[in-house]
Amino acid sequence: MYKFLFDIDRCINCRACEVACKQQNDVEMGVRWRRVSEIEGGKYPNPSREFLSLACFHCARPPCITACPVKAIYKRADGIVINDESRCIGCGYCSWACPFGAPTLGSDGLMQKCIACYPRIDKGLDPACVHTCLTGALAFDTPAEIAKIQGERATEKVVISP
Amino acid sequence: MDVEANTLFNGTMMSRRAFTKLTALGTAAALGGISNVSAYPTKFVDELVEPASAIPVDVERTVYSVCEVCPFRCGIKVTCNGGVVKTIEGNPKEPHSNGKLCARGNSAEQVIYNPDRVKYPLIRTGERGAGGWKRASWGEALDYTAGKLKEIEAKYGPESIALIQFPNLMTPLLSRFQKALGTPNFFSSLGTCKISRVVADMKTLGAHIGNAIDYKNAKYIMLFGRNTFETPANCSVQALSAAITKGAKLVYLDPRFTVTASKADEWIPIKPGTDLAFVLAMMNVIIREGLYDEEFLTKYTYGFEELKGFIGGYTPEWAEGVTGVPSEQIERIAVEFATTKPAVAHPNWHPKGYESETQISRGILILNALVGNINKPGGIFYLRGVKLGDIKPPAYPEITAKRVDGIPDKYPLVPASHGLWQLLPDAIINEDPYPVKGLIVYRSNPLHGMPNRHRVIEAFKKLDLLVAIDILPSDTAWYADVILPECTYLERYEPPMVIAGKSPKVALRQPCVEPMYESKHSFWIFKELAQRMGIGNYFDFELDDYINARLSPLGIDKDYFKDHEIWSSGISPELKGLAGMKIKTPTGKIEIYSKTLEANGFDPLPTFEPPKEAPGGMFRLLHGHIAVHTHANPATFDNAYLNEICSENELWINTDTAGVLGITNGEYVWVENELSKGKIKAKVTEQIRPDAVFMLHGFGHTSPDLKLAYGKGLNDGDFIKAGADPIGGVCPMDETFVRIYREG
Repeated sequence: MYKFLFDIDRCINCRACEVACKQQNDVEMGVRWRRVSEIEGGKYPNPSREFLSLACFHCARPPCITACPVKAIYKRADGIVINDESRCIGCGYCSWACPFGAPTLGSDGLMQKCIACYPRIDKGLDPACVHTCLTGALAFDTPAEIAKIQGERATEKVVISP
Repeated sequence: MDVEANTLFNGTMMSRRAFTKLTALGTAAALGGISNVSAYPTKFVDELVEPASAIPVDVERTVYSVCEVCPFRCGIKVTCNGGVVKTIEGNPKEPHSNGKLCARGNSAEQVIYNPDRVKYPLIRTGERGAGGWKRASWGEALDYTAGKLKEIEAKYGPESIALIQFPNLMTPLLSRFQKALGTPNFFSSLGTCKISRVVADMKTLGAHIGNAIDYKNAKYIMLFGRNTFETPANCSVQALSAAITKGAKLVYLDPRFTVTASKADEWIPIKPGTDLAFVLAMMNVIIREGLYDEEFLTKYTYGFEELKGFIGGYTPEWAEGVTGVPSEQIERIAVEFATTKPAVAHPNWHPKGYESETQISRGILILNALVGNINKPGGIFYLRGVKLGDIKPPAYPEITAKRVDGIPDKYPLVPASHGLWQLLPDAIINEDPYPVKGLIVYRSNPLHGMPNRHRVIEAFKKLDLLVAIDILPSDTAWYADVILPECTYLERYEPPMVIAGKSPKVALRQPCVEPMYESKHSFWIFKELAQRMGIGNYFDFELDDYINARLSPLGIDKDYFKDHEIWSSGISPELKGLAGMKIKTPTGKIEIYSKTLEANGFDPLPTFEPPKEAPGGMFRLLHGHIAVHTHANPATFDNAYLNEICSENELWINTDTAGVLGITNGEYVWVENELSKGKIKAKVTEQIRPDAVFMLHGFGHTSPDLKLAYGKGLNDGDFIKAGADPIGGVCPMDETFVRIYREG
């Protein structure tokens, strides 16, 4: 089983993940499988900016699968959630069910979303967005490995920060 | 088939998938599609030509090469198959990328398969800038260009031909062409970039050190407007992020709350143009408290005693009045900087675009010297390079004419290898000191990149010949008399790239696929022009010979890179201080007190000069970058992937200021000054000082054939007056004031 890690402290809004995704998966214009959004806050001279790089989370219990009336969406043994375009009828129920708005209807009227670059995963590589992330804000691994990374980062901050 | 072709031409992008399908249909089908294209309102795109196939097309290949979507030139690993570029990622052994690419690098397929590419040579037919073109054969276009250049040379002398280029791997060969031609007027775009920083480095450290900052080992980092996270400097982005992760403290000064500011421990919205006052006050505290590295200063610097005498008046209290930063904060930061080891301050790129820019950079370099953190882990360091070979040219003709930009008489310290391009339009218009009638523009977009576009157009109109050698129909190309289409970086070899650093390396740009359409390698263009100009003897070799000659001191040739990702010097990356190093200044030391500046009539110490104050009712216009775009080069703006993320710029305006002006977020407002006027979308935000406004640089392209970029956003350069820092030469771009108002 795999999952994504996103570290908001590290994201610098460079959008490398978005574009790496597009080139890797030939995602059509107007559709983004991964998208970085910005949250502005605070008041001058103490403003804040946070950046969120979001794609399909490949949920443990995906609501899109439950919502799909034709069982087009399925979860692979390794946890990656895939839409079978040959079954998809383009009803869009999945996109309503998803709390993150990950499934999007493409120009062909069918649903598309992040596939965690499974052709790369099957070759033992990491997803294109993770591979290109300049700051290590993204990772894709087993829950145990992700927990380990999170633990290390938390310790690093506590121990090393002056 | 028709649907495919329609999608291709009417859509906003040609995806790799569409391109593959199209080539699979063959030439006839591709040309058949053209009949559907009459509605496509371009003068550049008429038909597709099948590529030749000397490069193997049917097997999957991996090519290690060098990116060129932006000028940072990261090492890339490209996979191609069927004559098409499939995927592109960073070369893990190349230190600019460390195997990771930014958004720009990842967008490569939208560069090579951009339907807006110039596909064959074009010669202007109607009025300049009216968009009338006729398709020409290469022979016709080159004969036309060389014929015109020869006419200009005969009438006005070779000095009346000027050349502009964005610094790139082909620069030495264009410079060879210039010197063979016998003109002194060779320009890069550094006059609106880091030229003053280069001069500051040369005169203070004896060498330009670029971004050589050992972020990873620093514990305290100060950035004076160096918005690292939104620059093209990929490896610096990675290193700064790693330093922050490891717990380094980041202090960031900028009138705007940039991405870098958002990651800083402390953001200081300093009054624009007063960074040097802040730096001087820090020095004042460090010296007063005796927190400087005396041993380092005695051994390796010249002028510390003079600095001690000079710094007394620059107290934190004085600086508070100038910068708007409380004196206690300056005092605290000074002490932290001097006592946290190692601490480093980035001497900036084009710090703030003021007339005193050279001294601002010098001030920051001196600040680093005060704490002795030069060439040590966590400090700034001298770059180690590699000496490459050359093909020795025949003796060049003697150049007696002076440069038109006043180097060296008026600007004695500015390197002529770059010149001050922002001064060229006035020289052309006023024919001062003599007429410039021919202009060759190579991989550059001066109409957009130079300040004051209206003045640049006026200058272009006085030329007898404007040649654009480019990939895309840039704003400059739109005004050209002839456009010579170069192939993209994924379609060509280039001279080797030295990656200077702690442990220097060499990478090679290699073709992944054949040049598309009728585009050609610029070496071939230079060579063909040289032959027609009677200077062919300077180019009596092939590019392969040149690459091999460059590589010969390393004991390798270009084939080495067929099965090696990179060439490594093997030099230890360890930073061991300055012992035994030759510092190339007149005193052989780091010059706090600059003998060269003094000898040329400039202030030998970094005296603070206050910036100009905004006239009543006007705001200082600042500009900068975002991580998905670069400069004036349309390669990122007219790029489907990057345009989708950021298609137009906005005017950042403080919420309180907007309230006073009655401006609401998202409405289009007027920006106006004595040079120009234009509309732009307002971004009402807490992330900027109330007395300044900001817009991203590089928008507002005027070439209608840049289908994605045309007419989107506003060009900051339209409002900027050309000028020069008397020492380092940079155009004082942030001394620009504008009025902002609503419709009506």
